[in-house]
Amino acid sequence: MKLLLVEDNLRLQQSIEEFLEKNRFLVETASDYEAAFEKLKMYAYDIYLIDINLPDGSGLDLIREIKKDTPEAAIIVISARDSLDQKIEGIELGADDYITKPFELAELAVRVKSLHRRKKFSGSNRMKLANIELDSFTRQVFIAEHEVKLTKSEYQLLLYFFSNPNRTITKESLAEHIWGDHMDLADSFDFIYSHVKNLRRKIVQAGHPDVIKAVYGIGYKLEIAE
Amino acid sequence: MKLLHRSYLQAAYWIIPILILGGLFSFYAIRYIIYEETDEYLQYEMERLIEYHRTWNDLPDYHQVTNIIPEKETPEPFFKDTLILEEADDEMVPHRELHFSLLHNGEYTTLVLRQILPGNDDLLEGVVFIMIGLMVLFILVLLLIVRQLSRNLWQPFYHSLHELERFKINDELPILHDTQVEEFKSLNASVLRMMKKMQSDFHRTKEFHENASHELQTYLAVIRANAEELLSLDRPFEEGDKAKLKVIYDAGRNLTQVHKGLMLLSKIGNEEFQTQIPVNLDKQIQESLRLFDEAIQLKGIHLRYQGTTKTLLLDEGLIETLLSNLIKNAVKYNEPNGFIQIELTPETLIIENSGKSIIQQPEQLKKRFIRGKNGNTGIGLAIVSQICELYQFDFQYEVIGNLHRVHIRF
Repeated sequence: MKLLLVEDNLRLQQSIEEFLEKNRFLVETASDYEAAFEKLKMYAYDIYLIDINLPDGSGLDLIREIKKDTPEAAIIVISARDSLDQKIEGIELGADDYITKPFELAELAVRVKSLHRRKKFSGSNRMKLANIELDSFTRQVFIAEHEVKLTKSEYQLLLYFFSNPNRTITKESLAEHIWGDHMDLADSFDFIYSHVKNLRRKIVQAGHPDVIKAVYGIGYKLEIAE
Repeated sequence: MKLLHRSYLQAAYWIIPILILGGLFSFYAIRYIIYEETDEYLQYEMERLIEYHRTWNDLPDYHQVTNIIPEKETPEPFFKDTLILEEADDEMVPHRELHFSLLHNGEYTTLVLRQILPGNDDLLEGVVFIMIGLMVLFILVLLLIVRQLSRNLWQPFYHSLHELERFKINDELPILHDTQVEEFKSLNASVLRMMKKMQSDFHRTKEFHENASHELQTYLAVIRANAEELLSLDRPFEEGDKAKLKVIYDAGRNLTQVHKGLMLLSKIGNEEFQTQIPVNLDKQIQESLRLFDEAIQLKGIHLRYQGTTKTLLLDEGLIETLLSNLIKNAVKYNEPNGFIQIELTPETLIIENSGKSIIQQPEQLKKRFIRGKNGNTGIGLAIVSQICELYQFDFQYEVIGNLHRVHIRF
């Protein structure tokens, strides 16, 4: 999977790049409008991650350029401003998703991977890790061909783990993934705890080894032999 | 340049073309009148001579007319302009002549009457003289009028100007004089409105800076202290050090939350939410409740909701923020197996919930960053309070024993 990352903050660019490379993406970077323009005119990418505020131009113009050449391109907009106008404009121009800074890298992984699946295997949306199979289209989960019934939150948690295998995920980022802005509910960690507990129980009851491990004081991790 | 001097100058610019035009007009008008009168006089003379001739059948004497030309016929009388050398002044002087004929003893005779006219140069001289006189008079009157006008009419303006010059951002708003003049009235009103906005912006910015620096500094200090400790480790990184990283991570997350809240507060204060669409509160409450469905169930909270259809004109995003903040609070500070009761009537929205009794004054909680025991930034109620202020809702929050009650009157 080839991905073009356009981000002017070099530190953030570097951490995103390293993170995505660990997730087996082929990442090319550009830190300003001109460099990005050059790259996207010369090569084709599967996914574009574009920051809107660039020192020498607007990421929105880059989206226009990309859509002109390859209307089916997958684009995720990154913006520091939580401004609805920009979000709407980005989506109207043809961006597929929008993520506001600051964000968790794990959250980015979920977005990038689900977008990739949507664009790549239209129809079949199945992911398989260990013996757990997840269909992101029908939102069903199968273990050894038998469907495991999950609640909406449990499914969302599993999808989050699936997008970030072997990575410790904090309780906070799980809570934010499920409740968004309202994750600061005082007991949201208790909810996360009970959701994860139920999820683990359902997996084990379906005859699968327990793959979700608690990381003391921090969160959880989906452990899969690579 | 002062307004007064400017007025003089502007008036002076206008005087010159007006005088030139007026001069030309007077010149031609006077000349026209002179011709008219001269011709009339000559006409009378002609008629008098014809009458004389008819009565006495006698030609007038030479000294009565300018010229008698025998044996010449002029069928119709005609006027003629002519220049004649005036010997005494040695200059050509314009004259008006009237030529007419009489049938005298069977023979036509042409008579010529002549009348002296004032020269164009004389006329011009007179006109210029009159104009200069008028100009002097005009300027004198103008000076007096403008001075008087600016004293009386512009007085409120100068007063406002003076007040504005003295105004400092921390002062009370100045009292601008009442005036009957529509323009000054609207000027004063606009200026006062802008000053008010400026002052409240200033105070809000100041407050924002104070809050921001206080709130942000705390977290930044935590981040720096922990990062410093990790950096200065002289042993390899151990599992236990993750706790410090976690502290940094949490502080970072809190910073994000605080920042978001502050931004929202600023935006509401700046009145950046201008859209107004009809929002069905009943529907909006049910949607917000759905957000917390899970939390309510997990906590075993008993929820009762009673709503009527109530539609308000306001920003959809803001009302959503307001409701979800209130419901979140009701869930967050509730006790296991507690209750939430929401009632929406056409006039009020009441949210009651069980919870711990608190020592703090509930009114205090509406202010920013008054902290609860568990370290929550109390920004939620501040946001609610600010939104209510924006839409002029009456917002009350009270705690009676274990009962928390939010009361909003639309």
